[in-house]
Amino acid sequence: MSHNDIGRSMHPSASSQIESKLAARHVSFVFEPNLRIDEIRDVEGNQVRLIEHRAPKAMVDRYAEQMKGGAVFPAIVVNDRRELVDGNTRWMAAQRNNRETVAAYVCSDLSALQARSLSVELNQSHGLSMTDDEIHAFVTSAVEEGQVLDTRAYSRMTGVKASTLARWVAAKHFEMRAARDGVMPGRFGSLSDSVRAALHVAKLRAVFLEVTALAIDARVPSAQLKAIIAEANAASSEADALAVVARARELWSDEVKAITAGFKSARRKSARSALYIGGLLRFEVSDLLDVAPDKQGDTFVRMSLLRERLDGALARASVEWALPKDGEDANEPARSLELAEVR
Amino acid sequence: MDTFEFERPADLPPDNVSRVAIFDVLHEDSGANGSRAITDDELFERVIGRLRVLVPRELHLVGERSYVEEKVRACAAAGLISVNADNGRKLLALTGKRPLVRYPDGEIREYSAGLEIARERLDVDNARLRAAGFDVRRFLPSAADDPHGSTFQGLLASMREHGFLKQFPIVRYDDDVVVDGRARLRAAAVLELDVEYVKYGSERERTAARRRDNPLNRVLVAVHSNLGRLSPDAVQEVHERVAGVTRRTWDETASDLALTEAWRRSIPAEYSPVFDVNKLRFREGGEAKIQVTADNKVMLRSLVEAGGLSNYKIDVLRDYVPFERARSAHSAGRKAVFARAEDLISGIAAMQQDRLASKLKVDPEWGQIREWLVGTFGSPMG
Repeated sequence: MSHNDIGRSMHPSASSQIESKLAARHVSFVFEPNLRIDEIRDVEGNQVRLIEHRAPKAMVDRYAEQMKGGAVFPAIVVNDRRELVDGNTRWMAAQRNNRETVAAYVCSDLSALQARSLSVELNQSHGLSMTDDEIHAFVTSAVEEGQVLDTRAYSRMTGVKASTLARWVAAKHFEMRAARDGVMPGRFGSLSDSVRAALHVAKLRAVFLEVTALAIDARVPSAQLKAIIAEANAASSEADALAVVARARELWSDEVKAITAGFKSARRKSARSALYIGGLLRFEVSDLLDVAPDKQGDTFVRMSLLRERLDGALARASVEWALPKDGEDANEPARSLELAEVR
Repeated sequence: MDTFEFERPADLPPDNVSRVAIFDVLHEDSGANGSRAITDDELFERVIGRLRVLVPRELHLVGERSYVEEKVRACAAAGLISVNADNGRKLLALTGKRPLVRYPDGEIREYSAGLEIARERLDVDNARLRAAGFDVRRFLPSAADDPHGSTFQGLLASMREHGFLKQFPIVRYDDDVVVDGRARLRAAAVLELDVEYVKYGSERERTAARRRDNPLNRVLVAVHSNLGRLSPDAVQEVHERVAGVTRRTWDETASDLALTEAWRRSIPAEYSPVFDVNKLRFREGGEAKIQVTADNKVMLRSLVEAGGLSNYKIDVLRDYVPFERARSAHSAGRKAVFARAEDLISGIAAMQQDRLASKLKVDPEWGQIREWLVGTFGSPMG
């Protein structure tokens, strides 16, 4: 980088903020205080905002008035072919005032992609910042192009959380992988980014396809998918991993049926009660009896009521539910409980 | 959206980046028999990802399909591709004509297929090498590694006899790293000899050197400069180390380096703005010599000389006034130093104060020059 002609004093249009951003990207640049405006070229792709009016008239008017009043603006940024990278509004305001020159950072050897990501970063630090949708579009298209994004660096430049960027990136990777593996885009269109990001973690292709089908068929939330996929990834063989997904599908069979039938699956009330039952099971008998003397009467009444409810529920479940007979699968209740907790 | 057809080689169409992307996609299928025709649907599928990165706004405003169709028409109109109908499908193929691109030196040349993508891949390689702190010196043997060895002792003897040969200066990068000449540097330190580093004759040369400096370039410099003494295995080792960081083979990187060589060697011309100036008098009745632009930038040499000081006195202002270099009709074709009048007024005052505080001589002419500036342009404080 170089300040070449600006002497040791900082030129009023020089911007340490822009210079530090260029330096961080190892972009070689020259500060030119008097770049001829008629040499600047406006090419497609220089503007990162998706809005139609890239330099809003009101903003151009305001900048032009300020310039006329002697205000000095930071230098615009162009590449060494004088194609505008950043500073549309300043450039247009200078034209409005019939200026012949404008201060500019002339960057060497920027590829089109570098220029675009530099535009994104500089745009976020001044003018009308990009919306999340615009940043999302940029990030996902860069991933699609095979670029490796440093989410922390992009977070710094866009103001979007690194975790959000990582989710967008993972979701895009999921889409690309799904397309490669023959999953039609229409099938996974309804999946959220967090679900897509969770699915992308599946290691084996067969597991990826099965668990993606489950996520689509049963609309499994991302937290539950993560648990299923973590278990499948830890399995010792592909068959075991697929068995994990098959068991999960069995557990989610009601949701699959409801969704297939065109109904939105109702959230079961047991989802809440399971949490309390799980909580109670953590206490030993002695824990339940460790009650202050003044509350023992009340507690006794409530525990009795609880026992009545549970007795009633167990009596009906033994009749209504198709439970395995003794010895059929001794581990099944424990596994079901584990999975119920996951759900 | 309008498409722009260029008439003179000095102009490129504003949508050139999209035309190049389309050309590259079609070129990927080229073989010895030329370009294979692909359908417009195939082209769309293969180019849209890249266009989403390059021209997202245009795609958003026009629509992806419409935009690509429009660019296909533009490429056909420019003679880059042929479009033929085949059972209701459009078949696209290259014609042999290549798009044009502007190289960093400002020249417009024919585009080499894959150039843009190769440059981007090399950017990624360099970014990975930087992130990994790759230092080619760790993998290249130097005589300095064994100061008691015969090679280094021989070098010491030679330099004791002949001194540091200034005709072979050492390249030192901005971060003080030397990748070639480490043994001579160490020997010079042992013998307490002055080292000759490469000096750049102009700002342009310095800028060009900075522009070239990246991790891959350092690898090339280190290997090429020492090719005579390095074994093929040592070179292979360096290449494998690079490949380990870039996550692709050295051959792939070397192929991209070859493809981009002309681009990388193209150095931007030094920018040389030309100021329109008027000449003003320093004293009543004197000759109008002080060159001033319409936006109150003053050519310093003309100002200090009119004020009675020598040209070199300008240097005392360097720390106080931002300088701008430009040519004028009266600068004999060379760049002259200009500065904004308001910066000069405040800068001269600050310089005078500092020099007085440091008990340094202050030429009285500076006071007269500042008075002239205030009288001509007004005080910066109003």
